[in-house]
Amino acid sequence: MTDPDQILDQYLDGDLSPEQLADFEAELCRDPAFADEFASAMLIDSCLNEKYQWQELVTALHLDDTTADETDDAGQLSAHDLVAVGGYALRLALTSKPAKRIYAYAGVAAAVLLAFVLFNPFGGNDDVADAPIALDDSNDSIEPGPVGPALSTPVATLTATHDAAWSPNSAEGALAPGSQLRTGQTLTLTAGFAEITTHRGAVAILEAPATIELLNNDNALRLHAGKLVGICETPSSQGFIVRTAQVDVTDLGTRFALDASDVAATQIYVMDGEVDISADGHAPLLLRQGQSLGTDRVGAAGNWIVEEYQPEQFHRLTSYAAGVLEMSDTVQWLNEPLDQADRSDWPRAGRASVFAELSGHRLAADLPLTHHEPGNYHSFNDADPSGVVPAGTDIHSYIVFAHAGGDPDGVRTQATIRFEGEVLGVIANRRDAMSFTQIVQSPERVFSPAPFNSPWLGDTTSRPDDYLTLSPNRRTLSIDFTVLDLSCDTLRVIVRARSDEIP
Amino acid sequence: MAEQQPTSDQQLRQALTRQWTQVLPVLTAFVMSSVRDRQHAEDIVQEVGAAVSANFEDIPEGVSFNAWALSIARNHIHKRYRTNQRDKHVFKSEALEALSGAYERLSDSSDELRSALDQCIEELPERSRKIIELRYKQDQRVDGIAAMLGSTANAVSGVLFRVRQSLKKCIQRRIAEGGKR
Repeated sequence: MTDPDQILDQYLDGDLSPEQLADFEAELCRDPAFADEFASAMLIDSCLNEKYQWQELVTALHLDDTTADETDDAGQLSAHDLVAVGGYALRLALTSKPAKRIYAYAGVAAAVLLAFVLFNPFGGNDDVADAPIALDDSNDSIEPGPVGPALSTPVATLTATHDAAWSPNSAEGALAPGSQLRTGQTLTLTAGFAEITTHRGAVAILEAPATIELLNNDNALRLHAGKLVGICETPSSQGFIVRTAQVDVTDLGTRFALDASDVAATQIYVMDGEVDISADGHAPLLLRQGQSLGTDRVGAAGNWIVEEYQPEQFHRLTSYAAGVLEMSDTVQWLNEPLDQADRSDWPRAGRASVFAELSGHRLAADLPLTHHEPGNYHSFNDADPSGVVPAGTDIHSYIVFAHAGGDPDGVRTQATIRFEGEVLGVIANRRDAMSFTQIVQSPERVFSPAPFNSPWLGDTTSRPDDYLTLSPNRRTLSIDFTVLDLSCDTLRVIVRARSDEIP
Repeated sequence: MAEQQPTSDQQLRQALTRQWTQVLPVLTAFVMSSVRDRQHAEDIVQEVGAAVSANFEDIPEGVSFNAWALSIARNHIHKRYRTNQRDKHVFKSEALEALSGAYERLSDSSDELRSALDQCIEELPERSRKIIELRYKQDQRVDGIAAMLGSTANAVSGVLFRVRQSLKKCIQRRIAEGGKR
């Protein structure tokens, strides 16, 4: 083929001969990079069409472009949305001959109407179902009508707590796991953590101090102050809304963290999936995995600024949400696997680092362990490999590691971690726990079926300088590692998960 | 398949609207890439919109909305080609597969691309911008632009090529700069 750019350009202008077109098609099939180039060129071409035709519509209909992005009064499709939805009918209208345009614009109106019909597949004749999501703070009924529960009906359940204390004003009676939470109820958590599950299955985990209010909706709440992690892992829970003073955050099937400790701002961090952010005066924003937003950070154009994530902000809350109840000060929690962690999130020498490798995983095969009984261990190279977690067991797995940061004299790390679930055992050998390409797992991961008893990397001396203790109740793990040079001591911890934690 | 029985219609509708408007430029480009006849391409996009709307609740688990919508578009292109051989269909199934894969890869960055495009158009020299406006705003073909400007089709093609190359490089640069921040 001649210059691919030239060919692409000729294609865009319809100047390719049938023979060139055949070559073009063959090249698309043969070379994915060429297909990518072509797709990019076509997308730019399509965007140019959309851009200029939108401008012409604005002029023709005397619309104010600055308001066109805003959601309309009904809280439904914006003008931009409608044009996008009916884009092709619109394009047809705009490319008609001038004398026919007046009719063509009538066609645009029809396309817009069609768009409403098209995008109301859940009950077009239901006036209440078409009601907007209210953003008026004077009315906390996020979603009134037949789908919204009546006042004071139960909408959520307090499903778990850890060292929790509540403000005396929080409840009519004692709050304990299993308590039903009702619309209009305000809860102030003064210490510890609490897990609330909406009747649609969305989970909100609160870190004290925090105040929430249950709204007239079985899948929404208001966070007046404090930090919260939202988890929507079931289809019915998707669309979970957390309202703060600044924004409504709609979970689209994900895990996210919110910090409303400062009344003037909300910080949002998406750990997995994506969330929709909306508020008066702002175009909706889709925030994706790994992205962070501070709602007090607004750019010159009035848009929110997606920021770099500040990892320390949510460490305690996200570690609790991942099943780690307590950690000594010498432990650093990572929100993601090490190879994905932001540089600022990398651990310091002398501190143990922990991250959740798998959350809620059903073992597809027996998993051999190197240490599985409570006790103290200081010899790992000849560990008993006979322990096994049987296939079908629901587990969480965590990676714990320590490094020396290149110190030739060695760095000692002492740390304690208390897990919510029972520690079934650890894998403390090089093969299963040292290769980052192996430890960053997908849910389909089948663990290595056989233990591999080589020394830990760095433990080439014969002296016993690494100690591991599993408490009698199997909940607490303590490490005392001494690591040399550029080496790293690593272990995988296998913890039993509750069956309701398996997606 | 999702076992959902959602009652929050507004939320679902908003989600549908948001995702559809997000994928539409990519999906439009995909259909226009594959079907040369503009009227037919428009029809297909409308049909895909209707199908997406009707089946939004049944997106298979583990499949992204964009991939799903593109697969529906691919099926509609196939269907139209099967039922009406006279359509000016360009690409056969293998090329369509390759193309839909390319658009799927592109779909995550389409927002960035659109945003960068707006800025890059502002950077164009006046004459280049005029050519682009004639081509896209007035939907003029190359020979029509040449007639309006008293130039030749070859010269206009050359200018359009250079302007598109310039836009492409500018977009790539802006996206790369955005990625570093």
